[in-house]
Amino acid sequence: MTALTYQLVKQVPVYQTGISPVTDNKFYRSVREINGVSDHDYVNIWTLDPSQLSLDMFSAFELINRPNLLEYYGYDYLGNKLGTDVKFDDFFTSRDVNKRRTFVVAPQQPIYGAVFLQDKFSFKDIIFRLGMRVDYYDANTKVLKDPYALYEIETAKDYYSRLNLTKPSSVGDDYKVYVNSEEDDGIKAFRKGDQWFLPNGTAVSGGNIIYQGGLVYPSYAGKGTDGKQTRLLQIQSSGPEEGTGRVYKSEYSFDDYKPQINFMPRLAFSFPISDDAGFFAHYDVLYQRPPSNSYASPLDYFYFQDINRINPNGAALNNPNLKPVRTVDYEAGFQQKVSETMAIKLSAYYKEVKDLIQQRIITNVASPLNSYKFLIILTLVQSKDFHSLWIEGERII
Amino acid sequence: MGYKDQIGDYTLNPDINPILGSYNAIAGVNTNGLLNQNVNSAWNDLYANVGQVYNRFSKTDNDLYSLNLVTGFDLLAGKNEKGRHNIQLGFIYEQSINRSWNYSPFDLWNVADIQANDHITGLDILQFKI
Repeated sequence: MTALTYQLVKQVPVYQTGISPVTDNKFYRSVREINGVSDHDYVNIWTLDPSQLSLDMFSAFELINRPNLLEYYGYDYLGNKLGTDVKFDDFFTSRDVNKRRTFVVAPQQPIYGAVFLQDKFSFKDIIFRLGMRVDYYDANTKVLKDPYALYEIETAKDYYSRLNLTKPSSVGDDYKVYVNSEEDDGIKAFRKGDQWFLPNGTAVSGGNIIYQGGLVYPSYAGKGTDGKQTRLLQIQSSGPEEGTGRVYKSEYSFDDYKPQINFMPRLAFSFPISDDAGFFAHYDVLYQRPPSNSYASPLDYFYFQDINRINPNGAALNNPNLKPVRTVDYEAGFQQKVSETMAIKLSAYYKEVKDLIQQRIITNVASPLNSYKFLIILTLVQSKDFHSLWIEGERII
Repeated sequence: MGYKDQIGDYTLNPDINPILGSYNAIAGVNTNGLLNQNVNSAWNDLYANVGQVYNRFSKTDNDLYSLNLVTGFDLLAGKNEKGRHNIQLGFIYEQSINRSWNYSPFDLWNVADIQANDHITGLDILQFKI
């Protein structure tokens, strides 16, 4: 071997691995602390005994980022109970001593209250029962500003004001604005609630008439007069944006739940026409708190743009903005004693149920979601009517 | 880069679910102690196989603080029995505090496998030794 060849063999370089840790990750470091391995060396976790591993070796982000692994509220990701001082917004801001996000989710804390007053009295042989109940319900959490978008959409009033244009009189101030594309600020459509409108303000029967399956571009609130977005619309951002310093705030997406106050009058009377017969009637209004599917956590919204996370196995996303279900019922009838063991009752009743919980597919949502399943209250009348008249034999014991 | 699965290199720990671990005796169905789906469940996933444990670990804590004040009395208007009013009134206040924590822990091993070396991007050609 010549001297030159020997020199080449001796100088074969041994490269080091490059690393790029994610700020919120932790396991790569904690697993190396077990055997004192360098961050640049590979670790085989399958050689470890389960007793060497524990949940707190992971960061919260590593675990919530894995679909179907973990769900929690009122506890931290390790299962430690959280106090009621933890609030909805803390999910986006909480960090541990090492500046890693901890994604704490506040407990579900709905509040219910009621006062009622009832008076039973008789007037000219008619027995009255009059009452009033007032219910108060507060889901005590935050709700999406608009189920059609994760971030607040600009109103027509703000849009025309920003561009110094005159708003057509047929367009309402509170209409939400949809533009042609990210580059083209021209109006493609308006929407108010579930009602879609053409750019001239003419109502159409649905957003599909306008979009026909095409991509939807909401004009998000927060644009300056130069058309540039002043808000950071990235719910998963971990801090101030490099260069601009913009920070995501939960107020860009969420509002406080508006507490519901419901009045429930009750009226009943009975009018005995003899010892064996009498008329009766009642009118009741009842409200029932949302019985189920009324809790969604910031953890759900954090992955709002992943259809597999918000509609796992096709299940609809819960909606904390559900309102109490309303029932109105009337009944009037006549009851007659026939014998010592029998009576006849004729009555008619009508029952109406409003604001039922419905599963609905929200369409024409901004990409990448496009559409998803959501639970909503139908604000229009959804009634179940029962009209009946019957004769009833009853054994009197 | 990284580690390659090696079949059959598994030692049963008699202190940790030995029934489940005994499936290792079936040649070629496990990798690094992870059971193949063929023996992981039976009856077309309708039932878990012998020794298997549920993939769920959870706890809940639901507190309800409730205040009920109800009273009733009779008023005799005009001191006459016919003017009797039976009054019922009340006040209700409820504060719920609900907590829940659910894991599907089997997948923790896969998360550990991914996260252990995910920060390594490859060779750093600027850092080497001769």
